[in-house]
Amino acid sequence: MNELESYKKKLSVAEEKVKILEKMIEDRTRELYTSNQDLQRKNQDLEQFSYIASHDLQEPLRTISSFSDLFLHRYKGQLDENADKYMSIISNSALRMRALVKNLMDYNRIGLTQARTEVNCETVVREVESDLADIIYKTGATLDIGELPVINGYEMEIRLLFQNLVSNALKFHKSRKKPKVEISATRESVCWKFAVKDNGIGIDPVHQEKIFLVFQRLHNRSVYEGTGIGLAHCKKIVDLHQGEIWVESTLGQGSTFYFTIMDPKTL
Amino acid sequence: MKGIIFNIAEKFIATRFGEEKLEQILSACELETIEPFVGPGTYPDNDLMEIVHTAAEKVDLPVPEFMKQMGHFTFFKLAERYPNFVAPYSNPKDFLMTVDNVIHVEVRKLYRDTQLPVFQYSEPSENELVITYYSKRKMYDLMEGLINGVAEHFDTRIEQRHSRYEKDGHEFYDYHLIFS
Ligand code: HEM
Repeated sequence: MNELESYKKKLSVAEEKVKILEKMIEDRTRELYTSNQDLQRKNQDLEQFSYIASHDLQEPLRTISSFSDLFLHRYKGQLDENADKYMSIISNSALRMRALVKNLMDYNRIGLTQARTEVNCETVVREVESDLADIIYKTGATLDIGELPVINGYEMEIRLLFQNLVSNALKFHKSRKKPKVEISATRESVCWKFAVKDNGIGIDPVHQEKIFLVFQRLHNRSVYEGTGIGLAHCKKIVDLHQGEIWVESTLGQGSTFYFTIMDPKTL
Repeated sequence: MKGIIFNIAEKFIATRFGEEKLEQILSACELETIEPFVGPGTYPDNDLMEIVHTAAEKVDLPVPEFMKQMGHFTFFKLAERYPNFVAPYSNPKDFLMTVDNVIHVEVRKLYRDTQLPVFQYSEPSENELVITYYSKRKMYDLMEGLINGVAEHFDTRIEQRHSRYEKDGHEFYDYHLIFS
């Protein structure tokens, strides 16, 4: 009897503890919810801030660019050699800075979009192809678009991802060879594996890990334009989709960028 | 003080002296807290002191000795509950050096309203470590017991030399540890 009493008592203490803990969890959940909303608001502010900041930056940069170009155009050869050199350095730097500001903007925006949706990758890649029509035409490139799946993901990010990979593939082509880019996908157990293959200059093994870091620049900028931030974007986008991104390449023989996108339905 | 420490204190009394003794002690205590203690809760330090003092008297141990034994027990309970903090280390010195800037930092993320002691470390030699402890709670004996628990966990001997002193009106306590 005594034992029974003691069990009863223990049980009621345990019940009381459960109630207290449940209340704590509720309170905490409410707080987390509020601070999450706070964070979202701050994120929006930040997004807006970087948008405004970059616009404000773009404007004077454009002015520097155009006036240094104008200067070069008008006064080239009239001052000494150094003056020409300095002015073209200013002009190039301003151009690069504009590209950087733009890329940083894009980088900030990733992950701030709405919800996942069904994304038809084939449609997306066709759209990317038409966005890049100019460079495709100029380089005489061909795009070979395989059968691509409909995935569950963030559409704007997926588009950026393909855009970056395809335009990289076009950019880093061998001087006298027409770029050829193949985009394909294969089904793995819980994800889709995409491949973007080019016949370009390839990547030295020592660089293959580093290239996904922000601002890491792979090729001498005098030969190839590009700010190097593109692949860091790609990594961020792939991370957003719980995937992996890597490259397989042999110097001089082209590169294949692979990435995977988790399919939440199979998890 | 966090509820987890109260729960460990209750467990210590129940394990060492029996459930009944614990019942007796708790009903003899004059506590500010009415409801049962839960791990993430925060309760008055005085309630812990009241439990410790009442218990020490009932089991006929001097309070400092009771605290030391409880500290020893506490370390094993904490290590059991948070094995990841302890498992990566193979010797007590490396482990102890993480308490202030890794473990207690993580504790702060797990629990709100914590009030953790501050440690300052110095290493006079390879097999020595001086931990300068500062806390308004002055839980010197608990700390000594915790360190004894660490020694036993790593299956080594740690000799402790203590000195208490004041600086700018604050009381500090040095644990000069010699490992062998
Ligand atoms: C797994 C390892 C450990 C965990 C998870 C842990 C966690 C905690 C927690 C939750 C408290 C209560 C804080 C509060 O109520 O605000 C505490 C207090 C304390 N801890 Fe640790 N601890 C660990 C290891 C250690 C070790 C090894 C030492 C001693 C070398 C130590 C020294 C202390 C002391 C002395 C206090 C009492 C508070 C005070 O003095 O003001 N802890 N710890």
